[in-house]
Amino acid sequence: MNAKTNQGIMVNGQWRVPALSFGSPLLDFIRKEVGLTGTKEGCREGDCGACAVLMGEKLSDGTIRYRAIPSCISALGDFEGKHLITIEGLTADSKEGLTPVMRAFLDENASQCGFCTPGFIIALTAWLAEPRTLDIAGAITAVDGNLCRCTGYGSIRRAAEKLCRDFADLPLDPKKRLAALVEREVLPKSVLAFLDGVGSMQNSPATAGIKPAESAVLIAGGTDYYVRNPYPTQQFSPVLLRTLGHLSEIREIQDQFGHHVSIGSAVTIHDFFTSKLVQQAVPGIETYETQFASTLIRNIATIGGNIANASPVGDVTAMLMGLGALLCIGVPEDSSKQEARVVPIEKFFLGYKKIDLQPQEAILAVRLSLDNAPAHPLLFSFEKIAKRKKLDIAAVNTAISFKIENGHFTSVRISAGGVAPTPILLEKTAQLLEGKLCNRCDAKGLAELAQQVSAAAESEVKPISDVRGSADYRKRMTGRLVLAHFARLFAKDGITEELFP
Amino acid sequence: MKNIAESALNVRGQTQYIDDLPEPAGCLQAAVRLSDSAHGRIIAIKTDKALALDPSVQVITGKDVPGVNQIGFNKPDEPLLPEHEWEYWGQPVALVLAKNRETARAAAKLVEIEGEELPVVTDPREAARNSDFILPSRTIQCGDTEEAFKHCAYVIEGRVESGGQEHVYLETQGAMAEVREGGKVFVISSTQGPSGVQRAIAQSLGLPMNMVEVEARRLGGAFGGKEDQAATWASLAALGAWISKKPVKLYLNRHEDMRATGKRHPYSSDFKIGAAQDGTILAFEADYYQNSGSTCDLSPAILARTVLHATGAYKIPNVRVTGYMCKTNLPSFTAFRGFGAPQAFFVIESAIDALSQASGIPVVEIQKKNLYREGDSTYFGMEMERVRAHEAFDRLLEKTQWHSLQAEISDFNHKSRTVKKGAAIIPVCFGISFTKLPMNQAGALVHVYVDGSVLVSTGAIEMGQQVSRKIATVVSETLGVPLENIRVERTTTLTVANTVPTAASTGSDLNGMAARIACLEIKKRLAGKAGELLGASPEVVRFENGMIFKNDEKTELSWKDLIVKANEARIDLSAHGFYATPDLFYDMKAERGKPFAYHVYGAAAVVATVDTMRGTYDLESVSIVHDIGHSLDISVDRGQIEGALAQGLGWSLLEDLRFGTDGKPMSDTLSTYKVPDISFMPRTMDIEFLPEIENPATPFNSKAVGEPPLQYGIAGYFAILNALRAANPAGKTFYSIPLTPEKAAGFLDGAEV
Ligand SMILES: Cc1cc2nc3c(=O)[nH]c(=O)nc-3n(C[C@H](O)[C@H](O)[C@H](O)COP(=O)(O)OP(=O)(O)OC[C@H]3O[C@@H](n4cnc5c(N)ncnc54)[C@H](O)[C@@H]3O)c2cc1C
Ligand code: FES
Ligand code: FES
Repeated sequence: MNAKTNQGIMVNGQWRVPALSFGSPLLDFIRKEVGLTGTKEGCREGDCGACAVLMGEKLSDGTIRYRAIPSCISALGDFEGKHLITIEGLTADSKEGLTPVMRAFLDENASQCGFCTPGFIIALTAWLAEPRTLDIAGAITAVDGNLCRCTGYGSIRRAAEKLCRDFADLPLDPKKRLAALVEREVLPKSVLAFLDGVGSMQNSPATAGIKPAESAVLIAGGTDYYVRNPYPTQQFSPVLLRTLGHLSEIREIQDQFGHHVSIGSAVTIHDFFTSKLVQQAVPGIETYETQFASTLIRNIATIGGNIANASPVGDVTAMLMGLGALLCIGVPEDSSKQEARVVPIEKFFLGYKKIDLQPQEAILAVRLSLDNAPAHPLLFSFEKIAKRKKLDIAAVNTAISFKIENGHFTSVRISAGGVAPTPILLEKTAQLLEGKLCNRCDAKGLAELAQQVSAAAESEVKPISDVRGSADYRKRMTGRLVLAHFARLFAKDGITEELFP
Repeated sequence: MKNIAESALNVRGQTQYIDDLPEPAGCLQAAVRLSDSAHGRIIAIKTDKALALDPSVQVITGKDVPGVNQIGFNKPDEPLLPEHEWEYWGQPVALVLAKNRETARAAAKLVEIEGEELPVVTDPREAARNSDFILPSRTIQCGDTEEAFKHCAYVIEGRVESGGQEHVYLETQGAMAEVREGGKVFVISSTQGPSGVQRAIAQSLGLPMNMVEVEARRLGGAFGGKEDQAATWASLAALGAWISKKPVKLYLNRHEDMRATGKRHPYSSDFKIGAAQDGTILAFEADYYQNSGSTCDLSPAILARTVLHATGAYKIPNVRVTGYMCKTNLPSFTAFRGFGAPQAFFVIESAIDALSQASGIPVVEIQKKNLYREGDSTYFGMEMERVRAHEAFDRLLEKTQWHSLQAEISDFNHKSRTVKKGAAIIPVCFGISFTKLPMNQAGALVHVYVDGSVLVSTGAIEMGQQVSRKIATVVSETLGVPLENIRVERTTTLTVANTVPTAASTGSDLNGMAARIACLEIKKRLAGKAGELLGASPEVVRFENGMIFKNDEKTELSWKDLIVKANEARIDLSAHGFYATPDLFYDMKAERGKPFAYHVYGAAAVVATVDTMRGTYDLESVSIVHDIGHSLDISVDRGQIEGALAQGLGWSLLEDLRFGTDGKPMSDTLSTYKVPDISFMPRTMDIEFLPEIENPATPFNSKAVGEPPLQYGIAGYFAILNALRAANPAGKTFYSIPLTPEKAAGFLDGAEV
């Protein structure tokens, strides 16, 4: 890595200090430096899952968790003090040299050419390690970032079903679960060593607090950065946002006086959607998690990265814009604790991939209002259209939020992505809805209103054509997706029957 | 009967693909400079900037090729590295070597191609208008279509488009080459056809083939993409090693692979179908404009399979079909599982759908009425034997309870507002054999070692289809030796020569037969010795499960003892087996003959739903009735069917291969080119096998399985089309694969697609 490093990475059973520079993709370290070739490179862009490895880490509340991550687009330096388990490491302590997950794959003949197999086994091992009740839907989500071109997934599904049955009795307590998995040879004993040893470990790695060169690139999850720059040189010396350990604001989700929730920019997509606080601010938001990328990507990609990347179709960005999020922007290394500036998210985007960010500045956190009284709850819906339902970039996405106060639509916000050089707010469309009567007993009236809003949205956008969809399609889909918001939010009021007689 | 050795390596991550192999000392890494426009004349290739990057950098161009700068064997139109002209966007123009991959890639970017842009054609019909064909067109005719159309109650014409398909083998293309003592070239290639690779290397280096050894281990998927097209990368690696005198590895990354290599051929076709009042198809005409891309490659053989599958699973008395190989400035399209047949199946099924729309006769009725029957002969004069088209179709109707399913669906569609359901069936009749007749041959080498263990080498490459497992089974059953004593080795040109690529679903048929013939030879010799030892005539000696039987009684003599005794008696314990599929013939002039050893039958029904609000769809279930003959390994065959189905559904619905009108690849990453993932696939995949049947052309009456099930995916297209029709009866029907959500929404909105 470099001189800043002191501790290294626990690779399978052994701590190692990498020689490769800390900005190298983790995959190169595993394959080239450690020489473990069971971890494959299928795409180097996060889209196939062949490079998945298990990452063990200690969370701020002290729990240890293991998750599958895509090593091809992860910065090596982010794994300082963490435990990596590769396919080779899984069998370290198994008498037969096979874990139960591997055995299930053999029994169901779920490995044909075998190139994808290590990635699937890692992903399903991570699924077993997650302290949740097992079901096939969960298993399928766990491998939604893994491609197999040979099996058609039938045998893989059957292997997962078998695992659901065989491991139905795993404890839900995180620590007990890991112990049980070691006991049953799903995980190697090095997990226990990590569990024990990590307590004494310094939580904030040595890279923290070191002021980087002015021109340094900032990397959070790396899932956008490395796709664009898959072959960084050894001189590449980025700032790794996650290793700025002294800035808890960046890494945590905090309740700010019951007024708003502050989401650190380095919070991962998965942690964002599963956060109780976020769910409290935006009821139902968790149902949209799996529309974003894949399990592997959600485990490392960050909220701040999604916004700063300024993609016109960023999904979380569209949601946050629909929710009226505020961005706290400042210089992360600045110890003078200068007050961060607060920018409404829709003001942050200046043009195609142009954002309101000064050199050295970063998004520190994102604020969502917690003002969500039961009397007039926040209604929120997100829609996304892409060629493939899972792990695909949107052609169009949109989010809407509003409240119903005294029987009227208020605080209406509608965002849309993929229809302009930046994610945008559909302000005219929102204005149309703002203050309108919302009579939930009048499905017909609601349907008519929905149609009007949908037509307004369609005419408010001016998209262009590309490989993900033609301009005309995007325009029509904007209308359709806005209609879908209404159909979802007023389903109980019989709007569907009116919209689709 | 599980031989898990191979798969156990896979699940442990121990299988070594090209990039996992230890590199020989001093190995250089190669990268390619790909062209960055679709057509141009080379004026100069400037290397100074690249060379200045690092002292280890070497740049090799077409002029440096010591032998013949040509690797096209069907037509000499494919220089290894072009000297005069580049013909597609992403064509390798120079090879760059350096100490590591990063440097090689960076240097490759610095190689400047100075050239003059030339006009670009990407549309096969435009090429046809310019008469720019790879080879002359091919027409098969039977009866008199013109006359027949006059007597039809319905005559419908239409146009059908099917897109290309990227292989997305998870392991990209690559090779490692080394020049060994005496100037012998040794190459490990990720290829389906080591002998073809050997020939290309020999020709481009100007060496006799006996100076070139090519080895293929396990491939991380191939699907046809590494049949002809692996030769480029292996030849480039060999060229680099030859010139630098150092070992060289060339391994493409995904982006390079998606740009530089061929894919399934896009087709644009016209059909004309005529039928009697009752739906009996009387005449069918089709013109297939195959987008062949920039070079010949395998296009003629692929077009052959198209024109030989024009009528799908149906008997049609009057037929005229013509195929054109249209040259365009796109990567040379190549073999992909199905090999030209899926394109033909989609055309005939579209024609039947159009006929149903015009006549009001349900598709399934038209299909059933016209299926091949025993004794029918095809429009190219092949007599059909052991026809199972009806057996499969009827069983599928019964199994899916088709008629009540239709009623349920219309009931559902009546009640449901935002979700509409549709179902469709496709019958398949797929000819097995290479359409290029001389390729129907295979060799095998079998050694029995003195400890009784058996080693088998064949031309069959293991690439996920688990052919080793099948061949091991054939050897085990033939020799009467337990599976664990048998090892199927990787293929090298040293052990088995002049092999044909592992392709056309024939891998286990041909190589299994060759291995069986070798085993029978060894067994004959051993039976003589056993008879001598047991005091019996060789005829009453039988081998089973590692023991020797005499008159059906188990004796004390084991396989292992027998081998020791035979070796002491100086009996040859090795044999070479050779198999050539018998009775194949084809008269290219008359377009008549028997090009296939046999046919595989089957039928699939797909049920799908459309979300009418968003224009998206879900595949609900697939039911398949499939003719596997006697399965050599049920779990392998099931895996093949499910895998082929996924690729067929992907091609029909999802996989959207795009090029700009300037020939620029638009879907050259896995983020812009989507293949089926686990949730894309139907929740239920119910596969039933027809009862066993005699099939003399293969080992133990098995049947090839790789390609036929791919066409089942086409039913996904029609199921969704039917669901869309339920949502918008006024929607404008189109026959255009893939049926992306964009096209689905277009149908719902009444837009042109
Ligand atoms: C396979 C795959 C699938 C994907 N699917 C989706 C999807 O479905 N929906 C979607 O919206 N996106 C998707 N993405 C894009 C990407 O994952 C997201 O945009 C992600 O949120 C980016 O976060 P990151 O932390 O990984 O970004 P990084 O790559 O670390 O950073 C991206 C950019 O933002 C800058 N940056 C990062 N953090 C900050 C900060 N705090 N302040 C200022 N600048 C910052 C970086 O300098 C960099 O320029 C996908 C990506 C991949 C590889
Ligand atoms: S190599 Fe494909 S996801 Fe990493
Ligand atoms: S087994 Fe070949 S890609 Fe999955």
